[in-house]
Amino acid sequence: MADSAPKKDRRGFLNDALRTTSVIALAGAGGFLAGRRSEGEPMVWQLDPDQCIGCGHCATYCVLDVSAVKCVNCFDMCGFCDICTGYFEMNYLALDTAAENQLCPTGAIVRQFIEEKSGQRFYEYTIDVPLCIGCGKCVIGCALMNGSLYLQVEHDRCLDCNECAIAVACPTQAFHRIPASQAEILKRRAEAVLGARGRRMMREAGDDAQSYREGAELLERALTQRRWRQQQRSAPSVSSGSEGTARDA
Amino acid sequence: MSQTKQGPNDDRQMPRPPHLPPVAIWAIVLGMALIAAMVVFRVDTWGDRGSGLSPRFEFDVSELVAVDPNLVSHSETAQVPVGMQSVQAIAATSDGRFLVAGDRAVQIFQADGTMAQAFSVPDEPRCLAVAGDDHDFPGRIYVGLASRVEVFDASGQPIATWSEGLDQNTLLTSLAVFEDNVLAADAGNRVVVRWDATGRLLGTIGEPDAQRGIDGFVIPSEHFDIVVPTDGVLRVVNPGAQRIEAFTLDGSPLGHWGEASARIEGFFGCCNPSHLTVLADGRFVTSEKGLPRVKLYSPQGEFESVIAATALLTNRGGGPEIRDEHSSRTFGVAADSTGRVLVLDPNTRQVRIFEPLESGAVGDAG
Amino acid sequence: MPLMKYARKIGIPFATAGLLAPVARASDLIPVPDFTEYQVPLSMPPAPDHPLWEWLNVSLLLAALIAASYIALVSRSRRNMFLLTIGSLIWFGFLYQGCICPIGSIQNVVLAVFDTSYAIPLTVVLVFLLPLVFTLFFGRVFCAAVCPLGAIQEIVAVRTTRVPSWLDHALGLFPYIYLGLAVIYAATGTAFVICRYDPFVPMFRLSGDVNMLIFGGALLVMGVFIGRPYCRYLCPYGAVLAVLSKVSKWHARIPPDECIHCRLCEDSCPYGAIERPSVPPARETRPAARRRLAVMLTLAPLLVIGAAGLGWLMTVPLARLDHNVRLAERIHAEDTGQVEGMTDASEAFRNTGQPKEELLAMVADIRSRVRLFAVLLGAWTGLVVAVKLISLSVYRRRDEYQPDRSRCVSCGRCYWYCPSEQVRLGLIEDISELVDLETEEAKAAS
Repeated sequence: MADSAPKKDRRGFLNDALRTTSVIALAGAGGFLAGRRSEGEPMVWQLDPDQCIGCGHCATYCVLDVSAVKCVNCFDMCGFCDICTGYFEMNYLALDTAAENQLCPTGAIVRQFIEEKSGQRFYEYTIDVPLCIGCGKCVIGCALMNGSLYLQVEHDRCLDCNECAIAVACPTQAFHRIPASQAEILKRRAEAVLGARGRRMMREAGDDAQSYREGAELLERALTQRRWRQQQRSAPSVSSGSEGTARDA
Repeated sequence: MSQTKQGPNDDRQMPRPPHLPPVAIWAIVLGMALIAAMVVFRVDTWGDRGSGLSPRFEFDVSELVAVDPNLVSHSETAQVPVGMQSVQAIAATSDGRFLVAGDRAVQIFQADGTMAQAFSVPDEPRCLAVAGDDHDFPGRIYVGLASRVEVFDASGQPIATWSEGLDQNTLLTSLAVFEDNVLAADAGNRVVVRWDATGRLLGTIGEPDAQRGIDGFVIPSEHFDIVVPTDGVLRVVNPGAQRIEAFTLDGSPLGHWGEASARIEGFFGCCNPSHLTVLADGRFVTSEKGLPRVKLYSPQGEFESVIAATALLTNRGGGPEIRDEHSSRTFGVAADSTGRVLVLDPNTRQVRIFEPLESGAVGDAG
Repeated sequence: MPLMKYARKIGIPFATAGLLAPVARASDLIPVPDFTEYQVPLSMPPAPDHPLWEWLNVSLLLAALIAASYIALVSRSRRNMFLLTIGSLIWFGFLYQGCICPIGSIQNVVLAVFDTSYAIPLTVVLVFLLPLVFTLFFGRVFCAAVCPLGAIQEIVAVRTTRVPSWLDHALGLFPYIYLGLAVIYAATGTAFVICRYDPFVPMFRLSGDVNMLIFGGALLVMGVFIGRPYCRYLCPYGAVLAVLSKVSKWHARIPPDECIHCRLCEDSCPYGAIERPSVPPARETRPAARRRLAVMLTLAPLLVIGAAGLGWLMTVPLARLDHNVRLAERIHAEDTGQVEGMTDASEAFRNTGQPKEELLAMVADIRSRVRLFAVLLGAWTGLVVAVKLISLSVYRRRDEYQPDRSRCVSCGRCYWYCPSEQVRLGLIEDISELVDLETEEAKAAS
């Protein structure tokens, strides 16, 4: 026992020293990480519709049975057309809502008559979200014309996987981690039209404070997108860095 | 060292409850390990095997893109690269030269494709027109910015800025010059604005007017082209109605042609054609967006032939490329006095020159 | 004057707008028809409401860690530990559905260190750090009953058999290599491999890739006979915890007081973590042992260098996880006729008309960046092997039956087997009721 006691102490001392070092190191690492990003906002997955090619992977690679990726219509980009290439099959029999004319395999696009003007009938196209599976077929159809239909991750469905399975499978690497408060990635054109609409609302608001505020919110929403895109360009993340440099080149 | 007492150095097994035979256990474990290793390598996380959706979820344009080779009347004879980041508009002069506007500049090319001259414009140009010899100021270059027209002389010196009749909703998409008239297509206000050679507003054309039978223009996207052939009749693309409308210069409607159809003789989708120009012999050249194709129509508006098919313009074997940066730009067209059709390719940033096939007659080609 | 108020309130966006002008390219603006009555709606994806949810998870993680530490070290109740395990499995597994977990958070932390544009949320930092700190003081209590991946394996470990020591040591190296891989892929922003090959998350979500479900199922079947196969031979976070646990301040002990060497606990550990008291090597074998240690010590640097070289050679396959590298290789294979047809990625690339050379240049760039990490990974692997060899060559004195601190997950299975524990619990009066104390050690102990 005589020689084991000091040995134990030596080991104990060594352990104490190592443990103290580790605690300090961990505290330092935690402080470093927390301090560097003090906003500490959760990050969520979102896809950049400008990079999307409508390949359909969103529908099948999501870990959810029904994908969290859904189509949205940015109405300010929409032509409200009678002949909608995102709604109708190319070889439609008639311009009506009969199932055989519809492009969407799940019938998730709702066509609603608005009014007749300048000899044309105008329609509103909205997405019946529960029916949409995010296959992107309408996105391709619409992109041939105005491109107002595009895919976005619906955060109330998304499980926020640490590594998004769709992001891995995406052929154009269109998925990005964005701050939760940003929530969306607008098309560049959507950003432009929404910003313009916000500015117009503010200009035409007059004494209507409500509409002035809504306009300002819309403008801020567009500017958030602009800042995000600028940040993507200027400080490309390691993952998307290669692509950023390619585009800059 | 022989120890019989029970203690830490004793390697004898403790008595155990009956177990599965170890061999069976290890067989199961190994089998499971093998399965685990196999499935891990079978996981297709990269999406190489495609989406796995059934064919009805696929957007197939191959039928629409396919063009009967007998319908093709032109072949590509030359390509002139344009040194710009983005190209916006093209125009041809009567002497065989052509101009390209893009970035914040205009470049002037000789008929053989060598660049003769370039000058800068104050903002991103949207459209372009050159005055003919019958104009008060022959050779003047009109460059449409978003909401004003910059006037340059033939050497590129700025002369004036016109904005009479334009407002903050204005979005200029096309310019045309006929004799002393300068006309501008304003997509934002859905009218054609007409000035004289000095920039004085002469009126607007195409505002909805039930009495005169003018419906007005439907412009779902920022493409709204005009052209005035030598007959002096203004031709305006009404893209939302997929037709070309004719007006006298003082705004009286003269009828229209063109129909909506995904077939080759019609105009595809919600808003086409995106560009229009006219050959010296009065035939029209249209350029469509979405499924890009350049086609030839008779002066009366009957489909004649295909100048450039989708496959040629996009070099695409497979599905449509829908990314904005590659697809939303449209193919501007211009025609010079020798019958060449100039197509401005926004993706390769080239002027692609198409000339009639040697055999001449449509139908012998291919 | 509400207008003035709002004007001030939105002053900042206005100022930014001025700086960034022109905000919109004219050609981006599409005229919307002037409808007589219809208002053009705005569409907005639903905003995520995660912050509270995440903080709730962090609080529960902390609570579970405290409970697990208390159970492992103070109350020593296997039953409570098992109940906590079930609770953790339900919350962190089936309700919280896995993400983000401390195991995966390694990668978020590494990415945050290497990629300045990645803003790591505070909750993720805490999820990463809390189990580490607890391990430094109380051992691997996180593994015991908090980690849902551990929990699901814990409840199936009913017929465990002992893994031969050589195999256990060899397989035990893999978590460290896996950790190295995860770190380099996270550092280069290529992938989060730990999450990609997480075997149990698809089960918690009851959906996912069928191959991954089979993978998880196979591990669970294996886990019936080999306790916690994922934790012991794969889990990279477990590897970190194992190292930290070695110096933990308080660690679970088998006997509540002194060990009487009764051997009753010897086979109680399903994870092979109980170490017998050591026998001092015979005097005549000491020089051989010393020589072996010397050999190992000289071998260590060679191993590290050699493995680093191997890592250098592995650059190309290692870089293959990068999207662009895969794409370039695919395009090359298509162009040289090695494969038929196109993948979605290669078709998309060809449609852009971007020259192949640009892609190849980019790939060369990526490879050169990966090379450094590949060498580091190689060196790390060499180091891990070397340290293992050295540690196997060193004699450590152990006087009692004790859990190996790095391998023990503090599950508490062994407590019940200890007669002293039975006395502590008041179930028996005296150890002699259970154990024949007529051994030298017992005599010495009493």
